[in-house]
Amino acid sequence: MNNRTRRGSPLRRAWLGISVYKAVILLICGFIGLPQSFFSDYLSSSDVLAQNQPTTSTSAESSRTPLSKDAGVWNNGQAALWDLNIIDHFRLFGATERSKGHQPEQPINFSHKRHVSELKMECQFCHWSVAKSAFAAIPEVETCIGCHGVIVPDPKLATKSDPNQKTEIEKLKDYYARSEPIPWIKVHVMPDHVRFNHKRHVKAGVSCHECHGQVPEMDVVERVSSMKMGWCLDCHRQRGASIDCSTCHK
Amino acid sequence: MSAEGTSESNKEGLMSGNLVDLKSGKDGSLGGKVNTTGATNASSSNNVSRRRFLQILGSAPVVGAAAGCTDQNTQQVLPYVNRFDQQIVGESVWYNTTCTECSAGCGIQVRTAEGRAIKIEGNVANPINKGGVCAIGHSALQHLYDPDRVRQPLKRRADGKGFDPISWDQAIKEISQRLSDPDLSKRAFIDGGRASAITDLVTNFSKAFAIKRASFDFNPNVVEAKAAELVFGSKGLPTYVFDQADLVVNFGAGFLESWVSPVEYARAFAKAKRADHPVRLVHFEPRLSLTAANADHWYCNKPDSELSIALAILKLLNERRLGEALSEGVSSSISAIVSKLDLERLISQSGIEFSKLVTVVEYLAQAKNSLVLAGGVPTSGEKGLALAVVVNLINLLLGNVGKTIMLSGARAVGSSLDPLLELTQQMLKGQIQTLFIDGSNPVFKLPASFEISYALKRVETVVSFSSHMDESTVLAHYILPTNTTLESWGDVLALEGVYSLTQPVMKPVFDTRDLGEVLILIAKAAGKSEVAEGQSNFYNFVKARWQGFHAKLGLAIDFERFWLECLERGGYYEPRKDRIRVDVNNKAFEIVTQALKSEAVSIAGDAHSELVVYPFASVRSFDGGSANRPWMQEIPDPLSQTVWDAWAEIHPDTAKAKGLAAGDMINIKNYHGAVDLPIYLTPHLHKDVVAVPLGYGHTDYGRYAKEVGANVLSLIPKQVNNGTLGLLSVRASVTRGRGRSTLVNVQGSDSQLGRGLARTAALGAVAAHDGHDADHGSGHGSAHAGHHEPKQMYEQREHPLYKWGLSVDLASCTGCSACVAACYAENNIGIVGKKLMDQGRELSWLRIERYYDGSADEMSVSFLPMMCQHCGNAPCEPVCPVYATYHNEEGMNVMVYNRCVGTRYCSNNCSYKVRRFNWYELSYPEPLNWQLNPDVTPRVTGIMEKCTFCVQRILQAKDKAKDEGRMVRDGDVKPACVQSCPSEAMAFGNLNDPDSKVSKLAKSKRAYKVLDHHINTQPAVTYLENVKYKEA
Repeated sequence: MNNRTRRGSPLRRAWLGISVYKAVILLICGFIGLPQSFFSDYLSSSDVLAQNQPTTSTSAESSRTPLSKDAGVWNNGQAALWDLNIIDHFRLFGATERSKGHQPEQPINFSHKRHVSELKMECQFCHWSVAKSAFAAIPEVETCIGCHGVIVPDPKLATKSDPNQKTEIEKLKDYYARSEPIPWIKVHVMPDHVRFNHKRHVKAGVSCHECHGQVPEMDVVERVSSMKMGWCLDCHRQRGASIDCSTCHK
Repeated sequence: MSAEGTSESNKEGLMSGNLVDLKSGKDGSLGGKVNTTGATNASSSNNVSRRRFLQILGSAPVVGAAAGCTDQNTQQVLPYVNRFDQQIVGESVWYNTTCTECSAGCGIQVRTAEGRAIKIEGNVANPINKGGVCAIGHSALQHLYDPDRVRQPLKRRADGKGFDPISWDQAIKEISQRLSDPDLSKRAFIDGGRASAITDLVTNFSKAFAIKRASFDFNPNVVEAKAAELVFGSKGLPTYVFDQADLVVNFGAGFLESWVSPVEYARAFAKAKRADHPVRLVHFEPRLSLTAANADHWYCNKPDSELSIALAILKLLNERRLGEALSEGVSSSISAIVSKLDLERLISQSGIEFSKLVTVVEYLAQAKNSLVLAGGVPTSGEKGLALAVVVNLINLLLGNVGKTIMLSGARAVGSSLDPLLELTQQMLKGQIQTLFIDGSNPVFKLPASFEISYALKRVETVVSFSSHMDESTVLAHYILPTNTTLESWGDVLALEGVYSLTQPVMKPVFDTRDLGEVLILIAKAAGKSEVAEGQSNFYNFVKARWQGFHAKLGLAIDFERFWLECLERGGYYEPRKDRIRVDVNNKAFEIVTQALKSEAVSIAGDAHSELVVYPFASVRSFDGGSANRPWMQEIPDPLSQTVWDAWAEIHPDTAKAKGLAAGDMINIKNYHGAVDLPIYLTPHLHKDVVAVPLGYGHTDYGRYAKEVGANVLSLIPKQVNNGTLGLLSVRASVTRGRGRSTLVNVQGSDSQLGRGLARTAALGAVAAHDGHDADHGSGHGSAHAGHHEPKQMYEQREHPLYKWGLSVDLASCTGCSACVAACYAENNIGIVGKKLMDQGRELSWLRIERYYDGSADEMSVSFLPMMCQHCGNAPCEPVCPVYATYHNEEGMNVMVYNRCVGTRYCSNNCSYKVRRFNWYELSYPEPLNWQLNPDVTPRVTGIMEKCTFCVQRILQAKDKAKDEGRMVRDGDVKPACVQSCPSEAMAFGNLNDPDSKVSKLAKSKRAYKVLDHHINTQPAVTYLENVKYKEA
């Protein structure tokens, strides 16, 4: 290889020059905090959440102390601007998927409000493994059929425009008849590298609604918490739980 | 995927991830058709199979990460349809069963998560392995999830090329019709033949249809058993009590790697080595095997001269007038034999110095409990039986029977090869019309000179029950794939008084069935229902058999409870009874006299120009059954440190004389065949020998096995000695072959360069002193942990509750690599293939380093298991720009994957080179990915990974401790490596607790930390020096 080729073509040199500009612009942006506001939902945990928290906020909310500088890991446990991986973080757990208010349409219009608030069923009647395992687990179809084998749709409530349209309980029975699981859509999605244990939280006295919101009041389940790392850490710090990375990251 | 461009050989097919189709060898069109049960379209959500359901529910994290970026808005969470008792989502279920990878019969526990087997561990209750598992045992999972398995019954096409799928009902109907046809009455069955339920059923089946039976067992140990019968009058192989011995003299038996029951023996041997008076191992073998590497004294004798050495020892011992307790007749017979011996001639034949033999005899005469063994390659020779008899006579003379050799609780052995030879002759003559064959694969595991593949082609209809497309199965007409052991019912009776059960740990992965079930169905269809002894299916057959055991044992509990308890424990284990009475058969002396008459060296070939072919079974390849398991290709051979290949070991002097050099391919050739292999120069074998590992050179069997290395058996003549394949029987010419070697060696340096990484303390020449106050060899320096703590400039870290630490006892470690396999299985470690291994891009978190120290005469081999040291003062931590690696409160060096940006600074700065970087995103062909542990994230491209001390297990133990309101107790946490270690060389626990095993060991006199005294890294891993005797 001679010297000439090593120096590269003019085009390539120009490209390199532009790259330097890009870097400078990024740096300036960093200082003036442009991306800060853009990524604010991701970067800061407490402020945004505190404003948007629904009525379920606990008394701890008011006494929340500002994050201390030596509270654990670098940059208070938050990803840094200069963390090059931030693009990936954003892509994988970005605004649309991870933000609050995610309310997917489910294969069966199951109403928690009807079952919990009106019929006074306990959470653990269906989600029976929540205090036994890391997974709260969606109840087996058999569990639904346990009641709905005898409970039929109320003809007064079932106002059907199309007579062929199936009621929700009929849909459920169809799944059971076909021995098929109901393909529920996840409302709360944990990233793959997070180890979350329901059992430990339940046993530590964290009630369901602290993370999941007032599910008993929901007809369609909606995500009320961002479930981002900062959000987790806020609570862990308040309660003196472990903030060691390896506790939650696998 | 980025890796696709780089994959050239089929071994790297793993990374391209699209090789789900079954390779049928010749016929490529088969794949799509056969691939019915395994593959479901992952993107379709309407058609949800059980697999898809499990994928999302249980191991969604795992699969999601492997697949990269999935749309999180549409991720599903699927519930079970029905509720299962005792099944809690997220909690694993363990099943006790028995390993059938070799005939040792170790008890295993299989962890299943949401219906999939994901990890194998040893069953502590089993008296054979007591909790250890070998590397091949771990890899049984990859046998189960082998993507190249036969996925449904197949029938050969009419034109003979390729297979078509056939339904089970149709196949069973066609085969039963053949069995009912009186014109097709010449039938045969080749099976494994070890004592078990399935063998009993095959016997019934054979009787019902007048089927000729021939059993094939690669490693039958019939010679050793016959010698024991002749000398001790016992049946089966006696129990060798290594932990009672203070001296073991061994003629070629690889009891720490491949002989009889390596896990059992390694455990007992390590126990004897940790004793106050450590055992001394004297090993005679022409090659440095793994057992030889663990010996205190390894003597490199001339090949096939073991009988001469044993006789010389017998003569010298007899002159010392030992064995007074023996009866008149026996001692006079021994005297009669040894009086005829010419000591000088024997010694010149052996190539061992006389003074060394005298020393060995001195050791034997002084030892309280000695044990003399012969086995493996030397006993497969013509004089093998005589050797085994002489060795037993030495044991008799030394009074070892009843001390280190127990005749009760004998081990069942395999069957002789002779019936198979006879059957092959009949097949070649066209006298067999229908042949049934199980998965024992004699075409590959026996030399080509046995002509089994020709014989199979002469049979009208061959029915194979193998679930793998092995070399015997590709020649079949019907392939009825049967379940692997992890999917089937059965039992194993390896030892007298040890009844082990096998039970299915999961539903069959593919459309396969139990062999017993298939035989019962065929028999029923052919109108012979007596085969199943009145039972409706194979499960009931096994249960009825156990009802018989229950009655025989005369236990107080009722059968149903006994059965459930056995299922829970893995079997029933009788307490051992000792029987010492010895009946010496006079035929024993005849055999020795006969052997003395024959030629001194019985190896065919030109002794001047040709080298003796020395095939050996290694811990990695064994007999070749593990070849299609990527773990077993990727884990380096502990001695040669090579991967993904076979090799030919040659002494450098011999190579020089023949004009060969490192990096050559060599051609080994004789009358029987030829193989091309990469050369591996090592001074640690006899100059007259070329040593080649067995189990390579598959022509079929699967994508990972195919065309890796060459099969040394193609050089071996058709010779069966006392029912065993004569491995040591031929010479071959060695010349330079075509091309250059692509052998990949992962060991950087063979020498420790005086750094004292793996230390060995030399014990005194005559006897050990109390407490191993060894005199330390030179070059190690005087810096020992605890002798004088270095002054620290900075404030030291505090660990308020736990400070996790590991200890590795090098005196117990045999280098068997079981821990490496366990680590691969537990931590979802990726397989990179040969090419990337060559570039140093392997991902193993734990490796076994091998060092040769000392001079060629007084050489010592050290094995050093090297994993992340979890330094208290870690060099990797301060250089990470993104805080992805840090020291936590429990003394661990934690790696946060999602924070890592891949600068690799940490790896550069790591003094132990234990950090691994993910250069590519690795995916697994279905269903190999079913094995992934849901507790551990598979890593993505561009991040660093390393040993975590199995942090997931620590958290599980803490979780359990919190439930019970206590601290984690010592022994609660066992990382995968610690759990699987056959020789109990490792311990893990809390260093803050002064009573924990690991902190006691850390204070041992033998304790040291690797490199700590040079660079003050303060590792959490403590090593305990090896202890070896000095040569007298």
